[in-house]
Order: sequence, then C-alpha cells, then structure tokens
Amino acid sequence: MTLIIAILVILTVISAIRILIGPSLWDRLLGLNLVTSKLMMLIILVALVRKQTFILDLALVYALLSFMGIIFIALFIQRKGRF
Amino acid sequence: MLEIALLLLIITSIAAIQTRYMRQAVIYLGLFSLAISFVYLLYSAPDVALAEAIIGSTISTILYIVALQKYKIYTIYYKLQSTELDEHATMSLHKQQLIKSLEKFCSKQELETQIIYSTEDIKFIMEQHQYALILEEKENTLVIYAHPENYKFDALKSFLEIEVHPRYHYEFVKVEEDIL
Repeated sequence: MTLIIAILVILTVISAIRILIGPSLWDRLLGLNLVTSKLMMLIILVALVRKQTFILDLALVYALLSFMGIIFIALFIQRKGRF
Repeated sequence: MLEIALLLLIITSIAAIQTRYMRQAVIYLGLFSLAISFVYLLYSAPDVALAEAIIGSTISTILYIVALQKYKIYTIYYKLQSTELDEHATMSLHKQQLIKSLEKFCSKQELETQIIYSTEDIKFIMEQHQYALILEEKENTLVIYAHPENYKFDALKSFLEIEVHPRYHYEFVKVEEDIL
C-alpha cells in the first residue's frame, strides 16, 4: 500500500511540474487533467487506509465535477474569448 | 504526502501571482484548489474538502473565465515620428478623425480606450508593453498590428471596412504567437 501511494504521489508531482513549466496552454490543461485523476485515486486510497467510507463521496464529487472547469477553459481558448 | 501537498500549495500560489498571462493564473488557481482540498482531507475535514472541490474546481474557474471575457481596457499604441510629439505641434486632422472612429468602435464594443502616443520602436513595444493594437503610418497606408490575444480584431476589421477613412488605406497584421 505504501508503495502504491508513493508511486501515485510521484506521478502527481510530475504532472504538477508539467503545469508549472509547460510551454503552451494546452500542456497546462493536460497537466491539470492528469493531476485531477491522480488526486482522485489518492483520495480513494486514503479512504481505504482510514476505513472511512464517507471520504469516497469526495472522490465521487471530483469525478463528476472536475471536468467542467477544464472543458470551459478549452472552450474559452477555442472560441477566442467567447462562449 | 502532506508535506508535498503543502509545498505544492506555496509554489502554485506564488506562480499564480507572478504570471503575466491571466489564463495561466486561472489554471494555477485550479491546481491550488485541488491541492488545498486534498490538504483539508488529510487534516480530517472531508466536509470542507467537499465544499472546496465543488466551489474551487468548478464555479470559481467558470467565474474567472467569464470575468476574463469581459476584461475591458483596450490599449492602443500610436507610433509617431519624434517631431510630431512636440508639445506645440497639433495633430493633423486625419489622425484626429482616425482616433475618433477608433473610439467610436470601442464604445460600441463597451471597451475602455487608452491611447498612448509613442516614438519607440515597434519591436520594443511588442516585447515590453501590454498592448491590444499598434498603429503605424507608412505613406498612405496605415498598418495595424494586433496582439494575438486580441479577440475583437475581426469586429474591428469589419468596422473599419464600413467606416472608410478619406486618406488612409488599412493593412491588417495579426502578430503570431504561440498560446501561452
């Protein structure tokens, strides 16, 4: 379990570095998407370790809502500043 | 795990303040809200983390994007020769007419105009200043350089084609740049 959590944390940090240094805006969007999915897995693992099922709700909310912001930013760039 | 998340918080908040482009700041704030909600979870406050996940990653991103869309100040650089920038020299009638029509366009689009007269080199202006348009006269043509983030450029083109100026022909140049 510790190994899995360590690997996930390393992957999250790498994706976050991609957001910070990424040369274009598309790289940053992709990095945000990756960080969101990795964080979702981390939350599920935390729920598993602590044996608290209500933390799973948080992962569910993330899965349902996190794509909205990314889709709106992508639409904003694609339509050159209009919705 | 907690230390890494806290470090990420500091780095992203500093990056969101320091960046020049507002769209990047929106993405940094998205990462910030993700990280802070994870920190709330690790401090065993999952209800706060839930609220942060809903508000931070969805509503505030959309709110910032909408606010960015209505960003209102429109900066126009007018490149003049150094003799024209004298205090006693009056602007020629053609220039006044041109500026008046530009201001008319901006008030139609609900933008706030800010016109700066400058004698600096065009490349210097492009690199150093925040601009929306740069105007430069060459004989009888007026070259209009537009910033790559200038979203009103197509509207300006069609507006200037209707409002024909008696002296100048227009030449439109869109400055190419990668999306940052």
